[in-house]
Amino acid sequence: MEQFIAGTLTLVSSPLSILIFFSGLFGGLLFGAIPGINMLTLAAIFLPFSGLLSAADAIMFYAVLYCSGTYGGAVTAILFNIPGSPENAPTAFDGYPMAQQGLAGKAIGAAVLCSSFGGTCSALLMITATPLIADWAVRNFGPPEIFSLVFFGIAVASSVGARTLWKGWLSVGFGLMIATIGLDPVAGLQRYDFGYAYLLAGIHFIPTILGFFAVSEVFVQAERRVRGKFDMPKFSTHFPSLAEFWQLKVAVARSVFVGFFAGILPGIGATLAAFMSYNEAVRWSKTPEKFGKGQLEGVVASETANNAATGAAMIPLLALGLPGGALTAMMVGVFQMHDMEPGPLVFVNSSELVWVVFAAMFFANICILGLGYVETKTVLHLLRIPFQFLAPAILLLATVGAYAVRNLAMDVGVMFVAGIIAYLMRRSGYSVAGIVLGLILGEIGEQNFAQAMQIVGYDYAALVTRPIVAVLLLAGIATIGTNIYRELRGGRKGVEV
Amino acid sequence: MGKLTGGQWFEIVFWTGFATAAYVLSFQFDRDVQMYRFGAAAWPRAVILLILAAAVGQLVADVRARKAAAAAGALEDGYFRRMADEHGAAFFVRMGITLALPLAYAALLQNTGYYFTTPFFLAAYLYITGEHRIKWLIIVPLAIYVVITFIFTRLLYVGLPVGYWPGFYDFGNWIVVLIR
Repeated sequence: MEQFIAGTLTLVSSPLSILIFFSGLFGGLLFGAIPGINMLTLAAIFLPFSGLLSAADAIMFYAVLYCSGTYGGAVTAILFNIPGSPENAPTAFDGYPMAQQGLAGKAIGAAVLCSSFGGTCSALLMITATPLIADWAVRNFGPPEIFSLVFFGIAVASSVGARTLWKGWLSVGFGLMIATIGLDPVAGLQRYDFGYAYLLAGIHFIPTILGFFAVSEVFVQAERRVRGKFDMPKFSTHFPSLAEFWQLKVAVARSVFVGFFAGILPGIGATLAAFMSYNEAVRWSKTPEKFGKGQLEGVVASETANNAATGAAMIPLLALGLPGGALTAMMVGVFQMHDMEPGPLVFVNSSELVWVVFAAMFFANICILGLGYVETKTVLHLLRIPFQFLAPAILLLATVGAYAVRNLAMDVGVMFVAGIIAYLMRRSGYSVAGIVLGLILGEIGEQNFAQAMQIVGYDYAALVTRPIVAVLLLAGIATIGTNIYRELRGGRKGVEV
Repeated sequence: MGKLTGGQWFEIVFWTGFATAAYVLSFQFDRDVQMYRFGAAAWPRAVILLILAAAVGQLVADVRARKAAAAAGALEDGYFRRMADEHGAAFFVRMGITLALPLAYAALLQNTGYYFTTPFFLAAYLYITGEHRIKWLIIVPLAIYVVITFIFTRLLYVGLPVGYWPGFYDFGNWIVVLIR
């Protein structure tokens, strides 16, 4: 506690530190909300200048940016079906349908509160348990465990948003197939590249999700206008009540746990945390068929988990020097620019830096609540603009976002093709969420499966004797079995999108 | 017994065709990998198997659902069939243009550039989606174009395509210099 207070005092005693804190906070909120231009863009732009700051200020900037940037993308995901960053993609699954039903205020309010709550819990856990948790997770969670986690995630993904279980599986399978395009993750062999250099790097995630979510939604709305059945989305700024949150207390607690745990594991990060948490919300729900149609719990699960992952991602970075994602990898670069190496010695040699970072992340998550509330009250008014005027703006924003990732016009084409495919699949009862889940889990799953097989010497019995693997594989098989049983017993209700 | 709709047949044919093509193409990279016994084709083939199994499951589910609907006298057409009945061919023509227009824009982007092509694309999109008032067809695309272009070109310094074709390239660069 004394160290936390000392870190807080160091943070607030320097005007420059306060300025950097708020720069990271506002920068994350802004860049997180613009598709294509996410917090990583700002982090990369800032990297050369971080050498001019003290190590504590530079690392603190990145830590604050990570917190606010992870929340920032939720607003556009909910209002326009445009996830600002991949970790906000599951937020759009239910957030956007809520906006369509006139519940945008409720969805964004939930996102603000849950991002703040998840992040704050994660920061507190990070402060109290860094060395202990890092040691356990990194020792016990290798490629076999990550593969079984992905298997479990894929098993649950089939039940999200499609008209039938089989269409759910076809959606996930389609996403998994897209993920195989490009170089294989083990030996680097070219797969399904058709001789095009563009496809060697695989289908990029950002243009694809922009197409699947934003562009397909514009097409769906355009179709409603063509049919003469277009209604303006209803507008409301009603935030969720405390009673509604209280009803979701279990979902929030579960999402904090899932997000925190996923965040600790190197290579998993906030994106998978959000997807896994969403899957868990569906799996534990008594009414899983309501997910994808505007279920508040879907927004809560995704936003709590992705911010809970931010604090957790600092644990392997600071305690063991292992970055868990792109932004934490940049932080390693910042350490090195200041002639430091992240790892256990940082706690001994630079404990002041560590506690300034911890304090900054704690306060950043609290600030998200206030700033997010103000942002919501202003940004929400964009819904008053008629959709026929908003649609070209969304298309153009998505175009620039897709292009800016790699400066490739081909990415824009891929985005529009993805939009058309998603439009046709949505109209036929398939699940866009399932495709995206397959896409993101595919590469992680294949890579870790290959590593797992090498680790256990291709001995399946050795694989399942690992307790975490056994539990996750059994849970995945049970989920598949239960879903098939339910489907054969009477099918599920259709999902109209 | 209720027969499957054209859309349902199409889906089955599509998924089996897709899986077959993916399987055939997987032989192109089905080579031994020294460090990994299963090779690069194992994972895609497992996914193909999953797709085929799900397609069969969907076929069975469709047949069962159609039978049940026929027995109850409540057979329904597929989505696109209903659209054809309700709105005629005009629906497909307009939706076809709505979907094709962004593809044409993406295809032109590299050659004619973002700066020249975008206002025309926005106006055309607005028109095809039902806005026919000249005033709005000029004001809305221009406003969107100016705001987004200014933010990304001037404030965020994103390099947008200026085009390759002569004339378009010069125009694009002229706009960039003007804004920056």
